[in-house]
Amino acid sequence: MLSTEPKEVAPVQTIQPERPAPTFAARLGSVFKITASSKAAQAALLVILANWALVVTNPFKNVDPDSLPTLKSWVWWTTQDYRQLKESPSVVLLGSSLLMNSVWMQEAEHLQQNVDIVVNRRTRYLESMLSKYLPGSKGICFNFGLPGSMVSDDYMIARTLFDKEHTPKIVVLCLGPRDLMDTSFSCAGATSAFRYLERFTDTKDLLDIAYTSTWPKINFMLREFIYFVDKKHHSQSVLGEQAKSALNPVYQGVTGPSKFNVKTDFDKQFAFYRSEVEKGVFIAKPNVQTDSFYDNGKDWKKRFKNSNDEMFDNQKIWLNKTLAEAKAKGIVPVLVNMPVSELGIKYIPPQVYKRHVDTLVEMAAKYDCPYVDTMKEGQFDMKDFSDYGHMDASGGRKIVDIVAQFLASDSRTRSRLIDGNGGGL
Amino acid sequence: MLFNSAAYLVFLPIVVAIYWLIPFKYRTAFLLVASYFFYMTWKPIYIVLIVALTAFNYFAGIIIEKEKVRRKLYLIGALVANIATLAYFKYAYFAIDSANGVLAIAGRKISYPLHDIILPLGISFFVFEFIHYLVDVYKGSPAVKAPLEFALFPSFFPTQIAGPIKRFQDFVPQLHLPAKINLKDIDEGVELILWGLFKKVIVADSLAIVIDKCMPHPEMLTTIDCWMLLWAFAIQVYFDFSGYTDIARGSAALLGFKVPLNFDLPFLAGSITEYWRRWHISLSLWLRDYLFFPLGGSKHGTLATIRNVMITFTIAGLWHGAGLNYIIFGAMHGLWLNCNRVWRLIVDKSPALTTLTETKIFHVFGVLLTFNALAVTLVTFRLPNLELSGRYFQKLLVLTPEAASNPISLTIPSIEGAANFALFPVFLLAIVIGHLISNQLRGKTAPGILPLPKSMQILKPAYLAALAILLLLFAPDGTPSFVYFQF
Repeated sequence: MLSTEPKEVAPVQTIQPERPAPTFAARLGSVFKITASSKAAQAALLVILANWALVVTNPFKNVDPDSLPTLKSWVWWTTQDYRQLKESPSVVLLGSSLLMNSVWMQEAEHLQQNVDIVVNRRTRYLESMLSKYLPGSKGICFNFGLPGSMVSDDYMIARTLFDKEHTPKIVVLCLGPRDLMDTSFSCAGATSAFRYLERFTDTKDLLDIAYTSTWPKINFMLREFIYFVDKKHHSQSVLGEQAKSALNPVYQGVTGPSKFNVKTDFDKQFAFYRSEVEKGVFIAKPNVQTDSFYDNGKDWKKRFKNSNDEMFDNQKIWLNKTLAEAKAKGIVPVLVNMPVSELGIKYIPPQVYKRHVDTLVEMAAKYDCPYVDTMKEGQFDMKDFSDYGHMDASGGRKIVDIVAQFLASDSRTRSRLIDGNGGGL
Repeated sequence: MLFNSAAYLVFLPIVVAIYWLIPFKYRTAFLLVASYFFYMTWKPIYIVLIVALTAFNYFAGIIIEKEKVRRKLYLIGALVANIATLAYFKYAYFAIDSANGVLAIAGRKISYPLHDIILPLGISFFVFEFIHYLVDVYKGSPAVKAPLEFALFPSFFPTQIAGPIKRFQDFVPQLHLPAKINLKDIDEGVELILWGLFKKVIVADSLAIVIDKCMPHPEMLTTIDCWMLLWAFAIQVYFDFSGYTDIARGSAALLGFKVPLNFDLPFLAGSITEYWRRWHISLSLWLRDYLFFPLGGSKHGTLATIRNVMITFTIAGLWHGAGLNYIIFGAMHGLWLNCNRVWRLIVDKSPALTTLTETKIFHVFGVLLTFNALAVTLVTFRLPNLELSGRYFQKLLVLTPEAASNPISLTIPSIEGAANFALFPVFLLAIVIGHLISNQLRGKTAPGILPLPKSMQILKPAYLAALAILLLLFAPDGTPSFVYFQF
C-alpha cells in the first residue's frame, strides 16, 4: 500500500555561508528604507507639504503688520502715537527710560497738567524751548524713549518708522552707558522693541548682528523656513482675539470683574518692567514735590557687574548703522551722553565709562554729527535723580534745556530746524 | 538641556542616528558618553558627582554581593553615603536655616553660615536608583559587573533628570538585546515625544500662565476662582510631569528601550489609595519597596500601618523639597490614605456599604472626592510659604467675611491680557472631556499612543502632523522648565 503520508526526511545539513557584517552604507540604506515607510516620516512629509503650501500662498501677505493683534507693550503704544502724527516731526528723541521718564515728567510740569506717557509722546517743552532759543523754528518734537531700549532698538526705529511720511529732521540719540552694554540681554534681537519692530521689515541682513549666539540664530533661520514658526505670534494673537470675542457673550452675567485689572501704585511704579501696559498706568502730575529716592542700587550694580565687551562691540556696530541710516535718510543725528548720578557713577568701572564716552566722541567724528556731553556741563546733582540712574522732572528740564540750546546753536541742526521743509532729503 | 528645548530636538536625532549606525558592541559606551554630555550641558562640574556616585555604588554592589559576613554593615554604610549626599545637596540649607531660626528663638547669638547649594539635576532620581540597586543586591539579585552598563543605568539620558525611576533588573538586560532598528518603536517613540510635548507646551504651560499670576494673590480671587486654580494646578502638574515622562519613554523607544510607566489616568482614581497606584507609579513603588515595607508595611496591625503610612508619605513630601510646606503636603497625603484605609475597614464590615461603594454613582463621587482631596494638598505644594497658604485656605473654605460675600463669582476670565485667562474655564472643560475619552480608550494601547483601528491607521500620520503643527504654532518663545526638575 502506498502511503500518502509524507516521508520523514532527514534534515539536510547545509553550510550557511558566513554573512559579512553590514557595511555602514548598507546600514544607512536600511535606516532610510525603514523611515520612509514609517508613519512618523509620513507625518513629517505632511508637515513639509503644509508648510510649503503656506509659504506659497502666505495668508498673511496682504495684512498690515500693525493691524495684527499684539501685546500692547511700550513700543507698541509709542509706535501707534508716532505713526498717527499728521506731519513729519522736527526732532525725535531716542533713548531708554533714562530719557523717557525725565522728559515726560517735565512735560507735566511744563503743561501744568497730567500727562499719560503711554499715549502722549509729544514733548511740547522741547518745542517751546526750541522756539525760545531759535525763534521761527516749528515742528513737533517726539519722545521715543523706551524702557530697556538699546542702540539696536534705536536703529530698528530709524529703519522701520522713519518712512516718507514720518522722517524727522533731527534725531537725538540720548545714550547712557547701559544702552550699549546692558548685561541683562543675550543679544540685540532679544528686546521686546526689536521683536515688535521686526514685523515692519525684512531683517535677514541683520541676522549676524541681531542674533550673536547659536540658538537665537538657528531660531531665526527656522522662522525663515518654517511658516508656522514665522507666523506663530500672528496666529496666536489672531486666534486669541477670536476666542475672546467668541467667549464674551458666554461670560456675560457669569463672570465678575477681576481685581487684577485694577492697577495698584506698585504696579504703576514697576510698569517699566511689564511686557504689556495700558492707558493711565504712568501719569505724571505737575507740581509734585517729592524727595523720595528709590534705591535700585542692586539692579544698577548688576547692570555694570562686568564690562560686557561682547555686547558693547555689537551695539557699537548698531550705533554705526543707526548713524548711517539717519544720514542716508537725510536726518541730522545728534549724540548725547546722558547724565549719571553721583551715586550711579561710583558703580560704573572707570574704564567702562571712558569706553562709553570715547565711543560717542569717535562716532560723532566719524559721521560728522554733533555731540553733547551733558556730564561736562556739571549741571546735574542728586536732586535731579529719583534713583541711581533715572532723573525726575528737574533732571528732565535740564536735559531738554541742554539739548534745545545745543540744537539752536549748532549750525548743522540750526539750519535744519529753520528749514521749512519736512524731514528727509 | 530640557526636553522641550530646541537643543534637545537636535541632540536626540543625532544620538538616535549614531546609535543605530554604529556596531552593537559600541552602543552602550556611546549612550553613556551621550548621557554624560546631556548632563554636562547643565553644569559640567556636577558630572563629577554622578561619576563618583556611580563608581562608589558599583564597587559597593560588588562588595555586598561577595561579602558573606559583614554585608549588612556594608549595605548600611553605602546607603548612608548615598542618603548623606542627597541630604547635603537637598536639605543642608534648610537644616542650617532652621537651626539658625531655633537658635534665634532661643536667644542664642550663634548663627551658622549659609552657603548657596545648587541642587544637582536629577540627584533624587539617581540616588533612589542606587538605593534600589544596593538593597536588591543585598537581597540576592546579582550585581552588575560590567562597569559601562552599570554607569548607564542611572545616567541614561531619557530618564536621568526626572525618572521614571528604573529597576536595574529591567534596564540592564535591555543592553544585551541585539536590538535592530524597529519601525514600530520609532513610530511609537515619535508619537510619544509629540504627545508629551503637546501636554507640556500646549496644556501645562498655558495653564501655568494663569496659575503663576493668580495663585499667589488669594486676596484678589473669589472662592470659586481659588478652587478652579487648584484644579488647574493639579492638571498642570500632571500634564507637565506626565508630558516629561512621555518624552522620556519616547526617547527611550527611539533607542529600542522600554522604561517604566509612570501615570495611568490618576485623576480618574476612585480613592486616594488607587490614586497612588496611578500617579508617579515608579516613585510609589519605590516608596513601597524601600521605605514602607522595611518599616513593617501593613503586617503589624492597623495602628502600625497608619504610622508607617504617615512616615512614608511625610518623607515623600520632604523628598519633594526641603521645607515645612512640602512636609505638610506629604503628611496630608498620608492622612488621606489613612482615612481611606479606615473607611475601607468600615466598608468591609458592612455588606450594605460594600454594595453602595460598588455602584457607579459612588465611584463618580469617589473620583470627585479624591481629585478635590489631592487638589487641596497642592496649596502648600505650590505656594512658597505657610502664611500665604493659610490665606489661600481661608478663601478656599470661605472662612472670611470677604470670601463669603461673593464666593461663586468667577473672575479669572475677566483678567485683561493674554487669551489664556478668557480660555481658562474652556480649557478645564476640555481636559475633563479629554480624560473621559481617554478612560474609554484605556488599555487599548500603551498610554500616550492614540489607539486607532486598523482601518483608520491611515489617519495616524495626519494626527502626528497636527500635533507637530500645533507645537510649532503654540510653542512659547522661552523654554519653561518642568515642575519636577526641582525635585
